[in-house]
Amino acid sequence: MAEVEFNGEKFQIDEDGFILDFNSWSKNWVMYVKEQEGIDELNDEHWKVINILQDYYKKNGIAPMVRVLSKLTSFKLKHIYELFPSGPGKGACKMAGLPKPTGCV
Amino acid sequence: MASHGASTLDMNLNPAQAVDSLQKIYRKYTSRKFFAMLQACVHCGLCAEACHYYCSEKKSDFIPANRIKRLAAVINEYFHPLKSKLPFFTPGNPLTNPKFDGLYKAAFENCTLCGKCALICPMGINTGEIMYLARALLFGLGRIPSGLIGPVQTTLTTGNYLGLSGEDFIETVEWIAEEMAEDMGAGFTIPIDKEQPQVLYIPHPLTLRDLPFLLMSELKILAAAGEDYTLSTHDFDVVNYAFYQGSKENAFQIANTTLQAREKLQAKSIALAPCGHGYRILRWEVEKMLGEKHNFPIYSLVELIDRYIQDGRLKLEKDKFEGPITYHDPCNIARRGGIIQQPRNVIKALTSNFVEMEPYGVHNFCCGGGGGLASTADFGKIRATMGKAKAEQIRKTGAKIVVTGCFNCKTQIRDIGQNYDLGIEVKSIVEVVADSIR
Repeated sequence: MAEVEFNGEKFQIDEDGFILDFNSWSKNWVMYVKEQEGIDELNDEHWKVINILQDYYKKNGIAPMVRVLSKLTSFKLKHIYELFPSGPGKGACKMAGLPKPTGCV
Repeated sequence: MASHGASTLDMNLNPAQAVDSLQKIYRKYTSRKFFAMLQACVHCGLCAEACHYYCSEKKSDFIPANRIKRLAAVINEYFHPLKSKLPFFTPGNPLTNPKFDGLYKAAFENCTLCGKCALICPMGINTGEIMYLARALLFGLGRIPSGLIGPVQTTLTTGNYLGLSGEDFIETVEWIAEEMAEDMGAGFTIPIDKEQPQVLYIPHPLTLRDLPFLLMSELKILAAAGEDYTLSTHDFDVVNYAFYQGSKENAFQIANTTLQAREKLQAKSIALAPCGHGYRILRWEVEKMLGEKHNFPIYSLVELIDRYIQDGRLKLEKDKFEGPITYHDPCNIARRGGIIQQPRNVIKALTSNFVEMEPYGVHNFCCGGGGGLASTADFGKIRATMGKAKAEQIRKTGAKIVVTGCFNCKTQIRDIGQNYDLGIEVKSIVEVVADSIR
């Protein structure tokens, strides 16, 4: 089990750098992943994706398919990738504190 | 190091049943030839230099011959031809025998079943097959990594390893068609369950759920070449992790879904999304399991792309990507599948700056993510460490882009690119082709 510290807050992460416990998610985690992902500034659209991912995960226990995320946010696929360059799985889900999606993402 | 307890497949065996389970598997998988191979090692050590584990970290545990010794120790205890006939000899309880802990580590964590050491062995020991037996025996005891359990159970119950429903599939394909219509022109459609097509195309479910850009690239190529293809609700999963569990029965059951889908639609051939193990199992292993050859062709998509270019059906613009570009041979596509020249033809058609890794082709090093390692979260650290051999190979080429034709390899090379600071971009062969179409 690895641990990272950011702004004085500690997070337990899995081997792929995803947060282990969804409940330990906080804004510091978002800032930590933002730095790793090389995103300059988080805007309202980033937060819209993060909030929708979290709501969906709380209701369904899994991350939504990209099609569903695109529908819920009304963002085109290309735009989601512009917001999260490493993609909805590796980028957005990680930032939102969801577990690593199954499969070789 | 990753945790390696992982006895997660709950089979409720008692010790006698466990021995029985081992014996059944042993009888099924072995022959005299196999037994001879186990005895034939002359400890020359050549296999050490063939193994990306040993090349990445010089530990004796990582020498293929030493991994085989761990299997030999188990075989000597449970299946010795003389000892087993002695009435007073009873082998230990396999559920608590520490020999199986060592074997578990050797078979699941310290070997990707890449098969490179088998090519090097002067005694002709097929180490890949031997390590497969190790996985099969451990499967018989229920000892497999947790990451290889869930996806297989989901596949056996839902038909794909992500558990997507038929509705998810259809809605996603329709959505992808809409997204693609911007580039491909209004009226662009993606055929589903079309009867008697030339090609039944089997995608990777991850491209339906998380990575639609890759599926779009694949479909763009098929459309640009004017291929008469279809997707199918009967099967949309090229993946077959059951094989890596060590269960050929499960693997066959999963592969059979694809064969049945082809039959239902009367497709003339099957083409598979870029996926190393999925191709190897359906194209080659299933023939061995059935004991007969397929009477229709099964292609990896890269073979079709090569043919489209040769036939003038697909025209590519050269040097849209700044090189140098190198190609990583997925073990299951190149060493196990013989597809070596085709991807090179394809890449050379889109770049004038292609560089080879050394070694390449059949002797290429495993990326470190094969054997199911890249597909589970259990093995992140060992993958990173054992990717060193591949990272050094890539660094020496000076390549800016590494192209490959397998999801596992792509994930692993992206990760080692970051871990070893290679400054590379990793792309699937379908991405570079689709983006170069004229």
